[in-house]
Amino acid sequence: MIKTRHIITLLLVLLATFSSISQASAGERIRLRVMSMNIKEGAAYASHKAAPYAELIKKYDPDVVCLQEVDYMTTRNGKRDFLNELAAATGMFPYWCQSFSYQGGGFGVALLSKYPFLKAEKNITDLRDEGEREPRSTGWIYIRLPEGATVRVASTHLALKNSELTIRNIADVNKKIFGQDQLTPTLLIGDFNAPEDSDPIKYAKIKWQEIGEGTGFTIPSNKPNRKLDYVMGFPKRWKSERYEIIARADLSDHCFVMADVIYEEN
Amino acid sequence: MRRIDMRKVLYTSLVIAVLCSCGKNNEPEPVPPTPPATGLPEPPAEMNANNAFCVDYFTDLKDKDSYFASRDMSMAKNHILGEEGKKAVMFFFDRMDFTVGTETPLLKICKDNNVWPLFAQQEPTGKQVTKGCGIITKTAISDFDGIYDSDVFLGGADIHIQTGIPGRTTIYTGRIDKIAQLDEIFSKKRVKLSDDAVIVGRVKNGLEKELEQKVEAQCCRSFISKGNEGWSLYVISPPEYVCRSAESKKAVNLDYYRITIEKIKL
Repeated sequence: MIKTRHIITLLLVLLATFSSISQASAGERIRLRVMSMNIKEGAAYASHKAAPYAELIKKYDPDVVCLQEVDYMTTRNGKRDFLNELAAATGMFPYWCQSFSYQGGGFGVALLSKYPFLKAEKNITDLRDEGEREPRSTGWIYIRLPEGATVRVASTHLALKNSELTIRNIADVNKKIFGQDQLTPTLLIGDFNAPEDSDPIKYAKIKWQEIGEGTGFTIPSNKPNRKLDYVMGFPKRWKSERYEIIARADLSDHCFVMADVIYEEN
Repeated sequence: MRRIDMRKVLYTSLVIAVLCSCGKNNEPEPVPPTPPATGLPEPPAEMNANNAFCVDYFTDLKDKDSYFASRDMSMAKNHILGEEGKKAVMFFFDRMDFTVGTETPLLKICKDNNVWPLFAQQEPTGKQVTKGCGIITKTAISDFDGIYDSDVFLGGADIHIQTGIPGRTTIYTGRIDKIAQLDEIFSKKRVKLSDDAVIVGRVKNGLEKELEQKVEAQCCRSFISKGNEGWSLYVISPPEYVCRSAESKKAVNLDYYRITIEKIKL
């Protein structure tokens, strides 16, 4: 009788173990370290050199870096290929999203990824007819992490002129991003050009989850008093394990953001 | 008391365990039916050079080592930036493996040289090293796309090629070591492969004939350059493209194929 009970217990334990394994694999888990870096006018504060930014990136060792205000071979940056320099110095894959041609080269947002990307795309929102000074780009990459999960990470720098245009910019980005894929867990990171209690951020949060809610101001870097830089996630199942505002007044007027984020399906 | 057969118990628990751990994702995907072969229109006998373009595919067709393990990366850089390199629209480096956080040859070549790096994985993302094919383009790429499956890897960029026939072309690269991988490729990229996408890559020795038959059945064209050390070179193209040649060449000690593809009007 005792033997039978032992065997039944063993069977139950086995069942429980295997069903929990099966559930865990269904609940996709993503763990990622991301950084947002608005480097102000193509890294003007560091004389357009990539090295100081590379040093900071290597210190934090992120999986993905979302950059804004990047110059590509402009007159003011001395015809430097800033992004590829940064990529080589950090050993990360670059993805360049030019917003517009500028000074013989280009100006835009970019991403650096620790792992190769499977897919990359960009969206340009041109609201110049409505008074916005320049076209705004958002670029995104898909990465399959070594643990097996796929994540989409986007870098953005939204319209500045007024709240209405910023909202239209977000709507345009949403349309492109979600028009093609509503399944892949996604991060939208960068300079939203809107403070925390503003209409654009309220609008963004209809679809996106602000992962670092209440984490502090990001501009100006020497005495931050507003938040313009965000890490947003979709679907709203993200959480942050660590969120750091990095004030480096020698590198940008924006503080940089570093976040350890986790996504769980269940 | 009834005796319990331990073997039966063990078998039962094993069967339960296997059933529990089997998720929906492990179900085999149905193989799409191969459409009946229809005769492809013959391309013109003579090549129109105005409509032709070249890609340089660096490979030893062995798949033994990382391509630059025993080769000089600076030779590749000289080739890309020199007179010979001007003739090609894209450069592929088979087995230019990627190592996380290091300045790989791919990133070294692109830094400061006005060319852009991309990478098509040939295996799941590794924590440190990922095998794959480095891709170098002469302009920044907006759209990079492919297939990432547990067994099928394809990656490529959409570029504008200056020929007498206007339009964009996507050039993919992928490795075929099982013929069923072609079903997946045609299933996921059918539209592009019937219109404006070309694949260059290597196919395992012994599968060349089947590749030709499969491609023909899909109303596409194929080209094989036979190798004898494990792999052959292949090109797959839609009816409006034809691979005219794959000339085996050397840039000092770098083995490569200059692949000439012509866009044709049918």
